[in-house]
Amino acid sequence: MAKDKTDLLQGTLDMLILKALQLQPMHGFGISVRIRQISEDVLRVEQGSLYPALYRLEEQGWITSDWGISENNRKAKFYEITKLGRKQLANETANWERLSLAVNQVLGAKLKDLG
Amino acid sequence: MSRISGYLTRICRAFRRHSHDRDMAAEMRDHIEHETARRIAMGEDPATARRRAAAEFGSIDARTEEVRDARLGVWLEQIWQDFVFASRKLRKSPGFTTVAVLTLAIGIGANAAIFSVVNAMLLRSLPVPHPEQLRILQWTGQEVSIPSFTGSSSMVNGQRQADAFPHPTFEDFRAGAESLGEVFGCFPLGNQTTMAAGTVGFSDVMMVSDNYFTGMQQSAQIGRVFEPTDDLPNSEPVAIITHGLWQTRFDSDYGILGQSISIDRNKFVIVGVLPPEHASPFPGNRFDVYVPLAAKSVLRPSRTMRSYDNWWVRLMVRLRTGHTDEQLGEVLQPLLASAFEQSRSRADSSDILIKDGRSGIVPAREFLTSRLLALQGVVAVILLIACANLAGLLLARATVRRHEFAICAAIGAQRSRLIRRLMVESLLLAVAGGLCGLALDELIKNGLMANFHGAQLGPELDLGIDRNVLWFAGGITIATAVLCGLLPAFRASRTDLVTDLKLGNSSNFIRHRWGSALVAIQIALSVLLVTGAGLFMRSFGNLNAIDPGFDATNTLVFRLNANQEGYTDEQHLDFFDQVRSNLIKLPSVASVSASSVRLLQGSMSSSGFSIPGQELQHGERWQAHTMVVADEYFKTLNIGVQNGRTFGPQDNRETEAVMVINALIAEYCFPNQNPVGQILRMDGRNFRIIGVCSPTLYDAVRQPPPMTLFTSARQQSLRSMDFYVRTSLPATAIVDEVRQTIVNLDPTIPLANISTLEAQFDGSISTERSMMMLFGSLAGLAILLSCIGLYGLMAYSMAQRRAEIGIRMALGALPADISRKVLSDSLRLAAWGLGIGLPLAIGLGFAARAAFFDIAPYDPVTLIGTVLALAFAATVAVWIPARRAARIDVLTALRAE
Repeated sequence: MAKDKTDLLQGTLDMLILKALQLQPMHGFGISVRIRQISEDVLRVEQGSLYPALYRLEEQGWITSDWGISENNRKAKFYEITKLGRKQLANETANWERLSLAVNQVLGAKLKDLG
Repeated sequence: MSRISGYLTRICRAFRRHSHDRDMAAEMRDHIEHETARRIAMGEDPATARRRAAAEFGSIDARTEEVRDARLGVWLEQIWQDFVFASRKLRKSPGFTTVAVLTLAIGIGANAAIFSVVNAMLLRSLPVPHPEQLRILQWTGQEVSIPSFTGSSSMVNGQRQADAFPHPTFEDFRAGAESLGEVFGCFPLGNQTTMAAGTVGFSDVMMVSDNYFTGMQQSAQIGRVFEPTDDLPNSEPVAIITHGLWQTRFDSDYGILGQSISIDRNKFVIVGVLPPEHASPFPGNRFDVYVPLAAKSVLRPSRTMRSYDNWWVRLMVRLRTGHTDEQLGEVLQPLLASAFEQSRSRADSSDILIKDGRSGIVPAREFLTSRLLALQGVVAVILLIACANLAGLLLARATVRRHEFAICAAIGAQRSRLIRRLMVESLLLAVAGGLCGLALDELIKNGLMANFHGAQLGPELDLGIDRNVLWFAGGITIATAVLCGLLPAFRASRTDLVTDLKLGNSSNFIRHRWGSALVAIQIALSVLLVTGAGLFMRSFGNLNAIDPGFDATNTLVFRLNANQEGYTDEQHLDFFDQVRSNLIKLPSVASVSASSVRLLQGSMSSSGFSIPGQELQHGERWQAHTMVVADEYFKTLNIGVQNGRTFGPQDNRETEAVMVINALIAEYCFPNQNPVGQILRMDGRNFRIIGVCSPTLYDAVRQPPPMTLFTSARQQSLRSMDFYVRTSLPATAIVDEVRQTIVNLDPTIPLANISTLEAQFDGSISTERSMMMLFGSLAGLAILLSCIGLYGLMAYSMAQRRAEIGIRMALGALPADISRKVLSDSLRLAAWGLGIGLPLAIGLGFAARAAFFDIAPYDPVTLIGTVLALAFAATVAVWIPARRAARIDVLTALRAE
């Protein structure tokens, strides 16, 4: 079902956003830049999914937003991770690690079998 | 703090969508600015940087739309989750769900049922074009006296309010208001003997003015409606029949026009058939035949039609658009005043009343409205009890589920989300209850209509569920969900994570205060209904114990309408004499007589009178009920004759007019004198008083015996009479014999309105009986619901307090002490309920005292009965929990903790 796929992608993006916000509050553009930087330009956030995702996260109570002044002295909306969001990030990270480990093992095993 | 502000922001956001969209657009423009700046910093020229940044981001509108979609999606998804979750929860506890749904079904069903009656009688518009243009004319006046009035009239704040007008006034109105609208009139003649296509039957006949159908904007299916020439004094008598009558009596004959129908042996030529969707102007009453008002001269010849003295026509107006009620009132007011000036009618002041006519003419509308609203109030109380009951159940359930809520909160559920989840649950229950309620609605309505058989509601009332009823049912369903769900949801969602998690499932946190309050409220509300039921029961007992002044047992009653074509008054009298002499020959018949007005049927005739030689003070007027009776009336009904003699064959047209008065008139007009032999003047005739009889009931059991004047049928002209046949058998056993006797005399005269005098008595107090039954059953229901609530609370607290009880018993409490404690706890609740409920009940009783008969709202018997009934019910309800508490095994209880 299409839903599973988007769920997975959504979940991943959510995790990346939370991760990006872990250190300091940031505005939307900052988040997209940060994700690109950390992933060394591998991951590019689609602009079309960033803002809906931010809204969803806020709705879940994982992040909050407030208007503030950005580094270039403009009014901008800053997002901040909440306690609940940190907990969620920890959960998601653990899940992700388990999942990626498992996937790696499967892939590694297959390579070995083939080899 | 931040949590609350976050909550507020979100609420504000929901209400201020536009500003939210603006914020978002600003945020996105900011994003593009940043991207542009970054590109410039990397060496692109500003124009290209800006273009690329914008192109990369895409349309701001489209992005905003995406966020909006996400927002809606989140909301819908959450609602759906809540819905699925709630229905799963409810399915898991079928016992609770069944009780809750049934409780609500009764509450909502009863409300919807009463509302459908309110809707059909008072709210639904007549199915005619533009019903909002219709008005009904009435009048009010002070100190009114009218020689002849046929209509419905009542006293409102010391003013007489009535709905009938003299025919000449109708014509004045019609001419005077011609530029404002169409004034049209009607008069329901009631059930008449009709002969159509060779068969005799009964039909309801309505007399209407020639412009009635144009005023109603109704047309005929076959033929035509009335024209001005039909309603003139010498016009050929014509009639219009309904679709129903055309089908049943004329077999849907398309050659109907020109055929005739006889009403009381007067021929009317049929000129039209109405379409099936035609509706009568009186909701709930169907009419089969419409004839012009001019037909009164043949159908009701006793009273002249075109006189300002005779008030009988009901008037409606179709107001032309652009004209107001005030304009209409200005035109009609002086015409009404002149009606009083031009006749023997008198009024100190009179005012025309213009009322909304979209739902047709409802006689005694004010009375009916107050009755129905009272009923609606009573069933609303039932629904409130049901709500309090369910709220109690939900509260108990929520307390049990604290652990579950604490976990939800721990994994990040917001309080609003929890509240919403619980509200969805109660909404689900309410909707299920509402649907079951609509199914019950039919059942309740049938019971209701059976109780109200013809008392005030027309027999043909269409109580179908229409849009109004559905809106109402939907509205109260949602209100119910909010009422019973909100408190438990707020209480339950206020979770204290640490304590609740630590305590696990065996929480000692019993929210007793709220649960107890809810039970006390239920008991208080039940007290209202139980007191009401008690008062109605006592009223009914009082009414039933009334001595009518005549012997109502073993007496058959029926009406003969002997309107023979071409018969003279003497011939009518002969016919009635033959009926009596033939009936008396039957072996089981002891005595036979007849009267002009049937006793205890709600109809009466009255007349002003005077006594020569006794001057009345200015403005004073003597008035008494009148009754024309056949010989042996007093003997047949066992009415005591205190003085003088009664009528006999020696009193006839040739001899002096004679009269029997009842003792009330004797005391009032002839104090310390012997009235026998004196002269009394009535309707311009002198009557010699020949006897005095005991006072008897006349039109209704509720009315005390009135001053009554009796005259002899031999000295009046009558075409129909109500017969009383006293037998040695149960009255209904001789119906066939009596019918055969009449058929032998004249096969074309049917027996009408066959009944017994006892049934007339019962019928006269049927409203009181139905109120008693209705209140009684509703009060029973209320007690049942409150007991369920009390039982639930107690059973649940017992389960919660097992450990405490175990400790008490370990410390030496006896099982009897425990059950006594449980019992006294619940009786204290009942006492609270009574303490709140009784003063309220007495207050409401005072407000509604008119509905009771000879009973004070603080009637001690009723109040003590109420207290005992509720105390008893409370004891029964907690019996099982109390026993169970007493049987708790100390070791098990303590170990479980």
